[in-house]
Amino acid sequence: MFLTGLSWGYPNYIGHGYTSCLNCHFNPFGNGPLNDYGRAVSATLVSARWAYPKTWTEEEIAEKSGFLFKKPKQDWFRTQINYRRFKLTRNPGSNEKTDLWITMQADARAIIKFGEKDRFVAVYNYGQIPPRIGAPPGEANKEEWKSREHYLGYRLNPRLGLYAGLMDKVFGVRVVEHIAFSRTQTQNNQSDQTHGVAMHFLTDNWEGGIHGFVGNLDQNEDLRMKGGSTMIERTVGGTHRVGASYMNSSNSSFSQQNVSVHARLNLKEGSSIIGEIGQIQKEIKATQTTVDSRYGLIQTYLRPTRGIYVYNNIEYLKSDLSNENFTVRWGPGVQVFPVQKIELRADIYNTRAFGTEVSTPDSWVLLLQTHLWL
Amino acid sequence: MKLVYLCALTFSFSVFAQSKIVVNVGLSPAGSFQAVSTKVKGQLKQTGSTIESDKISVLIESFKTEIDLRDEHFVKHLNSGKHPKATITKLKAKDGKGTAQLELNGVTVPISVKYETIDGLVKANFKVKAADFKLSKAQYLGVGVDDEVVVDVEMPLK
Repeated sequence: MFLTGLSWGYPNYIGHGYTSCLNCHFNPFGNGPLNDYGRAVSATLVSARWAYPKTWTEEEIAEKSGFLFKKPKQDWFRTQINYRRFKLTRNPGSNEKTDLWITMQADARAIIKFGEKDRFVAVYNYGQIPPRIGAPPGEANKEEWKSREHYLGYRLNPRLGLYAGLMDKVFGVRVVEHIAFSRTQTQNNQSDQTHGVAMHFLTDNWEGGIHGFVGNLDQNEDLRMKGGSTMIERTVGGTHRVGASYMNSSNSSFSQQNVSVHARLNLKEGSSIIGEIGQIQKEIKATQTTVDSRYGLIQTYLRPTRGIYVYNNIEYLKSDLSNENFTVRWGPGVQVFPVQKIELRADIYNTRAFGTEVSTPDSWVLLLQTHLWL
Repeated sequence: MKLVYLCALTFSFSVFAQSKIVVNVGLSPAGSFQAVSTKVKGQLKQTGSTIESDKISVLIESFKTEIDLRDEHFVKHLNSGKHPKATITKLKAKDGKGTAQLELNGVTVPISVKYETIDGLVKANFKVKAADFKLSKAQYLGVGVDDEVVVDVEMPLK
């Protein structure tokens, strides 16, 4: 298993009526720095208010959502710090139990913005690239710090925006789970940002984008995946979204095509269901061999009360459609925001490989995470 | 057994008889929310095929929007301190259509209503524009709301 990185987004907030990421994020496709509205939402909708005096109004709580709990004194510059660390326990409760502590995110962000409704934005995000679990000894704990993303954005009008720089690829649902097959198999993980130009559009019922990219220029040229992707979503029933994505990319060694369809359903009062299924074709150029794979993801989110989300993940991966082997991963989790700027999260994952010839025991993983932001 | 039936009937009536007003608000750049109140005062009377009401009112501060901060903004934006109620008067409807007067923020505006009656419950809706009630454009940290909103009303017939 590779925990190659994280790309944090919360598409489940469609359960609060937020169909688009643009309301809360500078990046209209989600992930990365929150705008002022997003930070106020995180303080007053997502996080509990247990810690505040009853005399405090929600407006007063929202005003503490700025950097270092202060209300910004100007409109054009924002800074943010994000830190996330977790403890990964394999086979908990057994003799084969192992623990691993990993810093998955340590980012410092700066945003310059101008114009009505932040028409022009410049985003810079510098941070640690998390270690690759499962990498050869000596590399697994190697720390690497660099620009995680940097881009310029300009909205020609409220319905159309152009973004250029190092960004996540436009594809599928940017779910928070870093080990989701929908992220790892499609090469849309936290460290898979690419240099390119993206166009974002938004109408009353449609939203989507097109992304042309040349790979991460920080990588060796022969590793850079060049290509393009597109994602389109339609609002259905006033509060739900269905969508489809396509991506085609290649480098000197292999090429990859992804296609997927997804849905995000608003169950009201913060609860939601997210689903995505996709198919991937990889071609190794040297041998001219192709491998087709397929994945599926269903997430259910329930919000029993403000500050708490209870969820369940079910994932499916058939990494080679030419044989009968497949993998199913499922598990429940709980996410607690006891106060703004703190997220505590616990996940259990059970992974089972089904095969006609080889039988492997189930693997169990317990993840305990702490996420802090300023 | 009769007692069981009576209890079941009473329970089902109490479930279906509750009045509710839902304001469906579109957000800009995207998304939506609902402001819901079940604290509705007033009655619908049916005379033949005509449905009428002299007065239906709801306290603005009784609306809940799923976000406490938005509740505060909702009450403030609708000027609840000075005009605490929204009131529908002179409602007269027949064959699925009707007219009424809506008073909000101290301003009275005529409205056109569509409705249907299902098992004694009237489900009606109408559209209103905030600007017609002299309400300023609502916006918070870059996210605004659409000027036109759709209001759904559910009330039992008496």
